[in-house]
Amino acid sequence: MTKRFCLLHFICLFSLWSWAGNTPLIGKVTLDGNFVGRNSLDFRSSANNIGAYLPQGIQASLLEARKLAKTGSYGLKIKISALPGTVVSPSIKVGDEFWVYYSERDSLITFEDKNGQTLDDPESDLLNLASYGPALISTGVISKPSLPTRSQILNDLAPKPIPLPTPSTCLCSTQVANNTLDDLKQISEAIIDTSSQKAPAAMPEEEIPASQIWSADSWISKYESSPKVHEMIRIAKRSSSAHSKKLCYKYVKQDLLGSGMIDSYPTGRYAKDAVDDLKDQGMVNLLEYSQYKSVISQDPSKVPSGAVIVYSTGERKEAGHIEIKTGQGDATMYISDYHSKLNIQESAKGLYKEKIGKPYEIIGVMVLPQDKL
Amino acid sequence: MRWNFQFFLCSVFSFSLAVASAKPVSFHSSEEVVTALKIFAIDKMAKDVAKDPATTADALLEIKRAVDFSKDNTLSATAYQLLLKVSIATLKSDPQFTAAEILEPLYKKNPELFKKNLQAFPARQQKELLKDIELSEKESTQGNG
Repeated sequence: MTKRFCLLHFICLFSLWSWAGNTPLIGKVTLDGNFVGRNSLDFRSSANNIGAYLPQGIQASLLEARKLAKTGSYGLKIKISALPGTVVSPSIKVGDEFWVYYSERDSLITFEDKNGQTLDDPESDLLNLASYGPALISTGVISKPSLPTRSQILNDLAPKPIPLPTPSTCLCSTQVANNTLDDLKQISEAIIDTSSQKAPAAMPEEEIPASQIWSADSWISKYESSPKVHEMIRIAKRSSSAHSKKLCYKYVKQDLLGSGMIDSYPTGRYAKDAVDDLKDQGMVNLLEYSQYKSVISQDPSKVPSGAVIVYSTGERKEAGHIEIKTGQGDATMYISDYHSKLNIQESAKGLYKEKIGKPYEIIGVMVLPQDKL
Repeated sequence: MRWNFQFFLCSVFSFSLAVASAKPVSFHSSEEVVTALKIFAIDKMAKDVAKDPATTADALLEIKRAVDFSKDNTLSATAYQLLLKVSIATLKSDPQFTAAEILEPLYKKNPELFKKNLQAFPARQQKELLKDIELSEKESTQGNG
């Protein structure tokens, strides 16, 4: 009995010692690149769990680690402890928790121990952490994430040549025939799709004249006729469709970055965040100027051409809306991920929201300041 | 003292009545759902739903009331079919496909029943509506940025 007790005691002590000796050393992590922050441990492209785009310079504490069975890389759960001094989306806050992908081969994370010393080889500590939780069997590998750049956006918008079969390729080749048929099918569906919608009038390519409202204002009339604004509108018209994809803010970000109106990709998730995001990028909100606020009030038709209109319903859980206004009078169009002659307040959705007591209200009319034109 | 108490009671009653009347009226049965939605499926009205945002907004409001009714009640087969019919009709004049956003709770409550009722419609419309519901769900969880 005494021997058994001693043996049991020894085993307990040994286990305790082993655990104590293997306590993780990692105290702080720093993101040395831009990361996709996810809300769950799933890095597949179909995961639909993106929480935020985390910019370089974020410091965080490491909460959990999981080794990914297929790739050998790790999923790291981090809790943000400090934000960098550069532009950060207001939706990212200290205390937020995200899963990020870490690969030793392409490491963009610096690990420090609790004394502030850099850990050159955090693998053993990560393995230790990972051993306390279930491993994830990942079916896909996410390559190093990065925020879109201006050249990438312009490249994506460039028309792609339709591959034609070479003379030596038999048209009875299944793959070539199927590809051609798929292309034709997509084109025909697009034609049916746009014709069944109440398609707006053809988008005018001519120069948009300054509106009667703003023609007396040197700043706004210069803004409306500036090359950057024209380029932004040109890109917006090319990338939008007749039907929303529920990505209005994403498309407006691309329009702004692609035209050089802003210098980097805003990281906000919701359209209603755009006011702060775009102010951080150097744009100004006309509603903060009393003389312009009194002109615009809550009427999108009074907004200058080329201005970016930001809406909110006031509901915390709702994303809000954003659109670029082009033209004036009968030539007015509102463009985001879709184009329409009606702004969101006049649309079926806007009228419905008004009926249920959650109307879309303008919270921002964003333009470039004079010194950036 | 007595007069003040009576005045207080009247004020409270009036306020309650005002608040209650400001809320949209709820449905109490599937028959009421059918009666409210049927009007949007009649020829002229159906055309207006397909092209006029104001009529579409009215239809969306009834769709919302029907979905709210379905949270604690079971819709009859007729009501369910009519709800889907009117919802699909609104998609033509609503590039934001608001009906899909409103139908999301009904779909999540019983996806199999939803898809079963959707089979009465052309395959393209089925695919569009399900895709629109998926996009609405994505927007509510991931945002639109």
